[in-house]
Amino acid sequence: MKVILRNPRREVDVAGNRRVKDILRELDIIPETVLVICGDDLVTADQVVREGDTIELRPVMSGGSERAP
Amino acid sequence: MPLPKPVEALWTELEAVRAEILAEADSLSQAQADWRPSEKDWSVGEVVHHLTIAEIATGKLTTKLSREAEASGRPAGFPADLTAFAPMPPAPPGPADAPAVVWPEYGRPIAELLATMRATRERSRQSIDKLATLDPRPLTFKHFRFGDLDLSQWWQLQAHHDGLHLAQIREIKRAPGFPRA
Repeated sequence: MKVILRNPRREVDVAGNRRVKDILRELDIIPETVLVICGDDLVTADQVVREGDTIELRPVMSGGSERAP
Repeated sequence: MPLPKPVEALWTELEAVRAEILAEADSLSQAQADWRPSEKDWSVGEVVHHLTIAEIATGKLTTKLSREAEASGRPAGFPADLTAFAPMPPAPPGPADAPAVVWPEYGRPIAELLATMRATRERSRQSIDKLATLDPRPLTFKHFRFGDLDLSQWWQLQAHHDGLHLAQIREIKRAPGFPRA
């Protein structure tokens, strides 16, 4: 599957069917800090993403006293 | 069809703060939109991009939660006795940074960023219309700082988030060295 990342924008290939949380762990990303989009759908950490899928990571809004992101 | 009162109030808040953001960013040149106060700070263009991609995610969250509500057979319709949404919980202390891989992209054309922001808001109106047709209280999704937020609180957070970044945009424009044009 492809994982679309930003800053800089790039695509990372991850082999096989994988749980979202395992993909994020491999990319060293804390799952709660992102929302994961697959096609038109938001997927959760326990869901499995298939080999041919493309997922994109979006920031979770922080709110609170700190400003960004 | 008019929105229920708390939904109408939420939409009004969302639109008010967004109008201020657009007013601050609309007339900027590309040089102004790309200018950063320091290497570590975001430009106005990056802030605009960030707000848009966050709003798109909230829209997708709305779709997910409302589909799940429909699939669960919960009764449709906004509860008549729900006259105000539960407020956001207080923000816990500590860092709130998202990882760099989801930060916005630098240097995108400001006209394109603003057009996408406007188009995204038009689509968000559909999410707000959906919110007006269901009980948001059991529709929760965990936020990494606030814990479980219901769907109305996710949209309240969107408005609050816009407000935080509106202040950031104004600080950028006031910073020494901001381009005159």
